[in-house]
Amino acid sequence: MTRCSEISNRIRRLRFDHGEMTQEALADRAGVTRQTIIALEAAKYVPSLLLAFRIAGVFGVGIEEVFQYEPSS
Amino acid sequence: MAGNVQQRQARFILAVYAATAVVYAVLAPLIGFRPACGAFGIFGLAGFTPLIGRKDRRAGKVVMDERDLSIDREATVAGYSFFWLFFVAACMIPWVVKGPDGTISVNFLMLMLGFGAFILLVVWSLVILILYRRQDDDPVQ
Repeated sequence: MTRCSEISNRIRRLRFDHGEMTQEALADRAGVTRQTIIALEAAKYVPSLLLAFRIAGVFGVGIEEVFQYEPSS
Repeated sequence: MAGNVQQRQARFILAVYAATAVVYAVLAPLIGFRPACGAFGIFGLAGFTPLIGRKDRRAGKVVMDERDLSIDREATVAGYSFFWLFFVAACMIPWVVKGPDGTISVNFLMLMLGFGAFILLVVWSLVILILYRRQDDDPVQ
């Protein structure tokens, strides 16, 4: 089972780099609630593959630029 | 009420049940335990729960996303697990107490159903609130 600690993300940095996009704006474009974006940024929720691709699509970058997998030893 | 739709629904259900318990506790010593059972009609207000979030849904907002569905699923499993435990206990205890040839009132069946539903929804509500609270809100935008 993938734990939250094994997957990190750069969503907050990417938001600020894309015209200081708000969490609400990102949530609307990704089709989720703002609470989910908050949980993602706090690494308290691991998104589905579909949501991960949607978020990457919002920023116009590849999925690896948004989410990083670091297996715990 | 703050929080998303499911959190508001969970708080509403718990508030309705708390109100029912308070009204029953107040009425029972005054008019008797059986007549005070009329207070359980207040449970019916929980039927309005689906109306919570209707305004957001009509406005086209995302009310439930994959994370909300995942939390709902966990809470539902917890609710049904406790319902099952209660149901088994409710079946076994009279059998143990009364013995294989004992009899119980048919009212017991209705009480079993009512309390089973009560337990299911209370556990669902509590688990919903606990799971959302674990993912603390970060007010920083």
